[in-house]
Amino acid sequence: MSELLIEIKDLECNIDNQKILQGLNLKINKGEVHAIMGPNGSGKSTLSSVLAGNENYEVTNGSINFLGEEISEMSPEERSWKGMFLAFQYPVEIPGVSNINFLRTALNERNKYYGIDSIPAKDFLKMVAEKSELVGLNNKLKNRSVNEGFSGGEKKRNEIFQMAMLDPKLSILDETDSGLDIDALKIVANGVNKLKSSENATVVITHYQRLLDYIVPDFVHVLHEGKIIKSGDKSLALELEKKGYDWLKTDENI
Amino acid sequence: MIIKDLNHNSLLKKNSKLDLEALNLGSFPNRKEERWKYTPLRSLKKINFHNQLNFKIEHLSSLGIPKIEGLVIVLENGKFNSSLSNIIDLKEIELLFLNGAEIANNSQEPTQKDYFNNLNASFLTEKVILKIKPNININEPINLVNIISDDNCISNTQFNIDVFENSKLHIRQYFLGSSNSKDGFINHRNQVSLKSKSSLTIDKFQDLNHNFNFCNEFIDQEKESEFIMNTFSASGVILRNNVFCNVYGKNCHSELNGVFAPIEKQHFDNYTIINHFVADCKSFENYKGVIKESGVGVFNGKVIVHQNAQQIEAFQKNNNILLDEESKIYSKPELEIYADDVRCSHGSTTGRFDEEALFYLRSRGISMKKSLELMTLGFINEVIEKSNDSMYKEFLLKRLLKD
Amino acid sequence: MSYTEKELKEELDNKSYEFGFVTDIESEKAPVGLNEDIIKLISSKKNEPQWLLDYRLEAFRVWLKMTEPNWAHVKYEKPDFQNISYYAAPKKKKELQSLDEVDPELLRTMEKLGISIEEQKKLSGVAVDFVMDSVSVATSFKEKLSELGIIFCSFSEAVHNYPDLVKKYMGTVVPHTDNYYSALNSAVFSDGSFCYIPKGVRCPMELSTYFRINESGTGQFERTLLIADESSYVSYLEGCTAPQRDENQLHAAVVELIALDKAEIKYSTVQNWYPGDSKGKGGVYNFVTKRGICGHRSKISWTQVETGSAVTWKYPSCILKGDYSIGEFYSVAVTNNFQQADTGTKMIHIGKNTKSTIISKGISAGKSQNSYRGLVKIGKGAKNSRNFSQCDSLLMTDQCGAHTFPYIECENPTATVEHEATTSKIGEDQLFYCMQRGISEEKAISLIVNGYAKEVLNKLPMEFAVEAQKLLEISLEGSVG
Repeated sequence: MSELLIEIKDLECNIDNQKILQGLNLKINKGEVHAIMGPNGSGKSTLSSVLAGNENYEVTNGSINFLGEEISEMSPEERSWKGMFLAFQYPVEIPGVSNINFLRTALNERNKYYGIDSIPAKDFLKMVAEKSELVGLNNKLKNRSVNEGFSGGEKKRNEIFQMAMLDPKLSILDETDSGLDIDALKIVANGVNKLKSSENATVVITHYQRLLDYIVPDFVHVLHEGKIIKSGDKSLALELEKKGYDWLKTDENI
Repeated sequence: MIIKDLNHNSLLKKNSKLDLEALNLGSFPNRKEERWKYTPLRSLKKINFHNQLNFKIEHLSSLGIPKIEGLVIVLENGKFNSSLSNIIDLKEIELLFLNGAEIANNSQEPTQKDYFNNLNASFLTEKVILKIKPNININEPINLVNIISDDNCISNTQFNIDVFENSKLHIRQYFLGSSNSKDGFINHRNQVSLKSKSSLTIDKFQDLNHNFNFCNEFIDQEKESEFIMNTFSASGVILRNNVFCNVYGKNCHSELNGVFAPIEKQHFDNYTIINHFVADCKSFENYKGVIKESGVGVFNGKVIVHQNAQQIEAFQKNNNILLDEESKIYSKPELEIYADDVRCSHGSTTGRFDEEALFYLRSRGISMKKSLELMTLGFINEVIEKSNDSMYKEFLLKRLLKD
Repeated sequence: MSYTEKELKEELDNKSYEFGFVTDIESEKAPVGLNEDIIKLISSKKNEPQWLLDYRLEAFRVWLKMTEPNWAHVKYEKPDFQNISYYAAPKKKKELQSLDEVDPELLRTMEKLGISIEEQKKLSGVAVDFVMDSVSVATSFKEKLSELGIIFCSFSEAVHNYPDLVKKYMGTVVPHTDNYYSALNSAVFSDGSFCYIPKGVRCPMELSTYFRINESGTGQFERTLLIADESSYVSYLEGCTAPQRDENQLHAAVVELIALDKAEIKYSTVQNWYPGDSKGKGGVYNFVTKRGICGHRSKISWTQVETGSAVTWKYPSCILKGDYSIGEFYSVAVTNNFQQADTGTKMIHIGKNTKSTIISKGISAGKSQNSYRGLVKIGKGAKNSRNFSQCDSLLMTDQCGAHTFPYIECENPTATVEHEATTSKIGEDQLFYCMQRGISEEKAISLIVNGYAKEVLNKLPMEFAVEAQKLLEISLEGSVG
């Protein structure tokens, strides 16, 4: 019997008074990979932002239970400490703050929350070396300012590198495949796969089936107008690839 | 500064002489004042002016401007010249001319205590009021022409432009000095009021030759209004443009652009203040200076974002090219910000053209002179492009490049 | 989010001044007030030669005719110059020969400041000239330096021991007629630092002075004169703190740098004078004139981290007189509560092929006003000169102000002048990003601010950079650790 990681119930949310999510339900167990697909504007990125706690989105109804705790009122950092990780679709540039300093601060802040001593510099650097290998992140990039001047692919790899460093329970990959060529895609997917365990889960948000060839989902959900309108296994993704989304929309309308 | 042969609206005394310093106009600006720091007025101060309102121009074409069509209002040496004007009856526009005693009855306190403003108010000889009724979109530009053609003449004139709700207007304003006149002075004021959702574009062209021109522009913007002013300064002894843009309503757009190209010791000064009193507005400034032959250019632009005026986006840009040893530029872009959630920036550059680019052009067989011209064109094009009339653009380029 | 801007604001309000303690040292103070007699008293206390007294009196007469400048974007109650004591020296019984003889209370003060001389001596090899109120009390490493011919001593000592050098250079960069406060300083300055680096000598250690206003009701008028002879190099650090007091204390210093041909001077300041409390009461008025002059192919670099003072009025400047000379100005200015800062620089390009760089980072919090005011002047003869200026302002609350007043005067067409400035709020997306990675908002702010100021902090010598970073945190974070 697998263990429940997150349960989203009747989630509704607004941005600028516009309803984006309209009663979304989703359950994810440890060890699972879920793919969320859907046309533009269906609410995919909103879902990831809401789960990570972006305050620009107002949760108007529903609940998010993460590891037995209601988190919809929780600050983003607290969610992170509990094991939530969002790989951003557009990683932000932070001038003057080196990647290394940034990550070390992130780890130490979490340690502090759990009352653990901060990680010694030596161990930290060892960890960095280990984890960056996972996505083949260039040494130089680690010392550069966060995402500043990175190419699209480098930014995405950097996201996965950070994911490896933070070892989250739930990783949400928001359109991580966008802007990646096939080689970069493989590297990123490979990194994600290596980080998979029976203790964590992954949510892959994507437009295309392509990524799912490399990160194989246990479940595929179709998001439309802020709701999951269909769920299935991997074959659903292939079907979507062939038929597009329209047949589902009509289905729903009937 | 002295005005004799007085034709004064409130103290009308012919052939009398008036020492302006004796009048209570405030003190004559000097360079110790921050806003006059870069513009000495000695050459203006020593002139003895008169304001006899004579007409001398027979055809507008003699002033080197392209043929103007549609509504044309011409003021020459401070007085409405009906024979040069073309007053067509536009039902959407209410037009009112005030002169002589009528002005006194219609006078208003200057909103800004300023010497030249006070001078304008005290000696005003012609005031034109334009009112654009609500919900009107006037496509053809209307033309306001101010001419100085008489030596030592001071012209104090005013346009009041009210654009009512939801209306749109385009004005071409010309300040011209005849090439054979000198030491004339157009001291003009524009008073603009933009009601909600209205839009006004003013293309201002200054070509004064050996005369002076100061313009005080006061613009009040209500919500969702749009104001665009493009100032093209081609010639004049001293040109000074004071633009005070007060944005009182939300979601307004304010845009001030300019090209100033002084030559031969001419001194062109652009002084602007954009006051953001409320939130959610955008303002843009883009001034280009091309300075040569001992010309002096000044850009002093200030954006003030008052407290609580959040979400303001304000951009100021001033780029200058100095083309020879004797030319000078003073640039002072200023930001005064009292609200935190804003995006404001400014940039100022001064330099000469990229040597490599010039070399590239020349290696393709273009002369040095032409290359410089091309580069200058490329440099000012961004602002010239604001006008979508190709005839007008061509005319501007010709005058600004002193072709 | 659990942490709101309101809470941040409250924290900023409650931020307290860490260095607010009064050292209990017996001190000798001149009677309050300013007149020729007081000046004569100061001069005689210091056993000064006649020429210096004459210089002071001349400056005083000039000062009397001047008016306090009011063009800066600051509002404050003008100091009552007749209600200030112009001289305060810790009473001492004999000349100090070594550190061990220094009053232990004073040493404790230095320790509290985190700059204990002993520690510095051991760890970093920094030579420290400690100016307390107005008199330089201890100078370390003097011997080691003197082997190289480097003179590093208090200004008064220099007047006695090296009168020719002082006479030759004093007032040449900042004449006593320069401005209101430099005139005042020239009349009443009590002590300061003097430094001379001989030809071709590279000073092997950072020279450091700590200024501290201790005595209540005293103004500090120190004077620094630094001469780098041809092809020499020196890095000079100046740190300032002042104890917490209700009334406003005045600090009007003059710093003159002379970089002769091919010399390089790096001058770093971390200024942490008491800024007043969260109601805007008390604090130091910091009206300082700092200027350097560059010879042929020489370089002067100013780096400043300004976190203190109630009112700051300060424009470390470079006169780039020699061809190929270089001027640099790197500044971080933090204002909080009711602090007001009007600071920047003047880069006067006179020589050919001169180059200047200005990087200014302003951070405004609380109800403070933070202005950058900078002049870049390219003279007629300054062929092929270049300037680049970048002035950024960061706003932390909706009650504060951030202003940018650049003056660009270019009179030579072969010069290139670039100025950029931005004003913005701390990036919400950056904050969110950090928080998503588990960094608390407070920590995130400090990270981002440090990143924002990094370009400047990097220019500071190592041991200073750490202190400066800490200061930034104290200034902005509040007392929560």
